[in-house]
Amino acid sequence: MKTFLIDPDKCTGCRDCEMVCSLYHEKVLNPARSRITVIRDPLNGIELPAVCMQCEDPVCVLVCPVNAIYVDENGAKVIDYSKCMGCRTCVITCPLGGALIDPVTGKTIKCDLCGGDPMCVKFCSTHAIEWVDVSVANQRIKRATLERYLEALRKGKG
Amino acid sequence: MLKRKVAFVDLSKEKVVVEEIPKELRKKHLGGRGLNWYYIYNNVTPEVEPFDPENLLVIGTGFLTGLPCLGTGRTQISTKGPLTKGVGDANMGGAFGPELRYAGFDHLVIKGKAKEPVYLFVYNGEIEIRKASHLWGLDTYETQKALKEEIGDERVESMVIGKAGENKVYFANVMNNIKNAGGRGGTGAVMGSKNLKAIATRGTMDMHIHDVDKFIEYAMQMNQQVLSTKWAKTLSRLGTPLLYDVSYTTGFIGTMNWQYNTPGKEGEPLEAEYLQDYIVKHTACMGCSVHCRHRVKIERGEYAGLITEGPEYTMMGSFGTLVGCYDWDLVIKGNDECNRWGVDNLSLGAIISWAFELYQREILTEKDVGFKLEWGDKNAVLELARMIVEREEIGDLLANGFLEAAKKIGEDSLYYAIHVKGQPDLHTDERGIPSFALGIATSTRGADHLRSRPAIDLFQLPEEFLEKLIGYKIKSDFTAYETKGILVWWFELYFNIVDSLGVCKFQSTFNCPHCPQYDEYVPLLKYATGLDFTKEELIQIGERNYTMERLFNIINGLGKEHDYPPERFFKEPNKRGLPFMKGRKLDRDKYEKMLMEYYAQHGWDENGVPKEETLKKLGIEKPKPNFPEVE
Amino acid sequence: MSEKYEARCLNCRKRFEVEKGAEIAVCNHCGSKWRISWVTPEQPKVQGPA
Ligand code: SF4
Ligand SMILES: [Zn+2]
Repeated sequence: MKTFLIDPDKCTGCRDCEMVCSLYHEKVLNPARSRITVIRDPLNGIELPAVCMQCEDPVCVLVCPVNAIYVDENGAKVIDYSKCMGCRTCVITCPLGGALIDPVTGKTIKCDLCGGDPMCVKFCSTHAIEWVDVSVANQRIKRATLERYLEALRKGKG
Repeated sequence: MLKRKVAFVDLSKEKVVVEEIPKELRKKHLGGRGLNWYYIYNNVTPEVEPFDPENLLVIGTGFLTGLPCLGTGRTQISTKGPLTKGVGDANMGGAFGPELRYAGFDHLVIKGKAKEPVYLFVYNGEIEIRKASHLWGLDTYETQKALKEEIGDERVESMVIGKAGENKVYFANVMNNIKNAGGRGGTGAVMGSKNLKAIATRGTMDMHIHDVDKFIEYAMQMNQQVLSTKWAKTLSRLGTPLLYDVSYTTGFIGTMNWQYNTPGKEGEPLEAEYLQDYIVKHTACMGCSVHCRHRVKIERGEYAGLITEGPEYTMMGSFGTLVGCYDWDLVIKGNDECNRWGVDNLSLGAIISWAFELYQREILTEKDVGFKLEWGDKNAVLELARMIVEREEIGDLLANGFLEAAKKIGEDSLYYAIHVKGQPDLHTDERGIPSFALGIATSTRGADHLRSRPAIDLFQLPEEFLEKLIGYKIKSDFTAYETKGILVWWFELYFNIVDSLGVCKFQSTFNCPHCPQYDEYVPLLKYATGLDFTKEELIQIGERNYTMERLFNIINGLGKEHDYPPERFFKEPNKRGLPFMKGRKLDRDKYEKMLMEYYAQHGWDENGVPKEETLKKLGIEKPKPNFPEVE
Repeated sequence: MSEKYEARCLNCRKRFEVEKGAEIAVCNHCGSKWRISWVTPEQPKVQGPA
């Protein structure tokens, strides 16, 4: 099983992810139509990539009044456009901002993992976003947490 | 990428005319810098002064700006500049250019002068002229924050001026975000002269790619090619300060205003590695996988708590070696101030260090300045900088650059002013490196390192390799003069193409011979735009664009006599540095021959004027005004 | 991974070998002695004169 691993400290704000996402899905360059968004405010020092985390128990699937969101073989929560009526219920309820509205077509859009090999990950030169096995993710998260803990201890002593 | 739009904005008449950019113009000039100069060459006649309403301010995105590769986040800003009264031209990174393209425009050609401060709001195919009196006086950060707030969209990207632009300081920048600067050409001053405080843009329009699948694959390949180089790895970690280690160790860094060519041991605290202590995060321009920028924080000392971006190598001279200060705190603090003011830190530094040397030589006195200008005095540096930007007392004089200031201070003082065509030089000391010296001398925007500098000349690459890259036999020895006219010619055309495409120079064959160049641009252009260019055609476009800039300079009085490096580089040998650098200076006869070789290579006559046959071959005609007349 | 690390000498401008993790190195072509910093654990560079 795989998961996104996002490290905002590594995000440079280049937005290659947004550009390639729109290109891959909509065949045009337009970051406003990307499924991944970098919340970015360089004047205040913020770069924060946000994308659907493909929840285990996804609220979007639960709330969709027409059951338009299904789970594919990669675990991606995918919109079936033959059913989706664009009611925005998932957009409003997703706590992570994973579902969005395409400003050109008005359709609801969300990450579909590009069929199992996400393009944003391929284009992220600093590995701020990765698509890794959950065991690897767990290990890395634990390690980062421990390092912070040790750092705090050291500071406390020094 | 075709069928893109240019907007002609007349601020006096408050009118906007939008046209489609014809394919023939793309074939002849590409975009960005090339197309900018097509508009200026045709519409700005010699009697127009830089601050006249008739002068144009042209904003141009590169033909490839806004792609997820090669740092194509770049924008070119061009005008008749106040410092040189010729080509005033700046290339800015960041995210403004891509956003402008997503808002539907590639070029904005602006003329006239607004009655009161205004800003342009460019949004999805529309351009609005809006009042900006409430923004006048705000610094560049505050202005951008206010614009985001007022427009109500945090994705608004703006190109703004600060105090320096408002006060028409001759070397004022336009700025985007914290540190992306359109510097060197005085474009900010021209913007200020038009009462134009900002251009804010936001777009959610599609940009079309000719062959999406091939493009995605190739873009990824391009990024990998860049990232695999040692250069990119070093730049990713250290940013441009990495250049300091080389220049101060070798001895080609102006010190105490070019009296010395390195501070030697004293300069050790400024080594790039020591900047690591300040770095909070790496940041990048849009579409860049290299991320040469730093977000830094000063933890201790008198500037404690300051969080900002940068500094670049330029600042290490300006508020560093040039004024005899070797303290990262000052470099970072000064850099932040410059960015808020929107001033070219490089020109500002050269002018400050000039004043310091004039003080040392008693040409300027404490009475003239109001305080002492002693080498290494941080506060004196910061205070003089502020006075220049605010145009206070002697600052008012210095704000007009070397040439005008020297009229009052005395023409002899110009010997100590390191400039070409009135444009202050980067703090590099070129007197030991003939190709660098020729490059700053012939650069169309005056002394500058980003118009042709063959940085790879220093690597002494094998001659077979150079022949393959340049297409001519080039001497590997960087102290040689022969063949270096051709080397500089090659880089002039090449950098023009880089600027016309909107590619970042740090991801080109600038400091690294293995980065993508013409051979890679051909397929990239094909996949992105659908247009077929050959390498030879691209080189010819470079020649055409470059020659138009040259012609513009010539009709504005900048000919051969302005194609020389500073006199000091011929007279005073280097006093310090590694053995092969110490004692070197420029040789007048050899320089002259190199200049002739360079002219000939361009197809220009012995006075540096493009020959008739050259113009014919390039299809350059006499200027024909084509700014649409509006009622 | 080969165990060979190289930096460019600022004096003779040739690449010379640097021992892993070294802080000081001498160019085997011209004998210049340099302080070394590491861009990555695999990539040394000359930081300044030793
Ligand atoms: S290398 Fe630096 S200047 Fe160039 S695009 Fe990247 S961040 Fe911008
Ligand atoms: Zn050596």
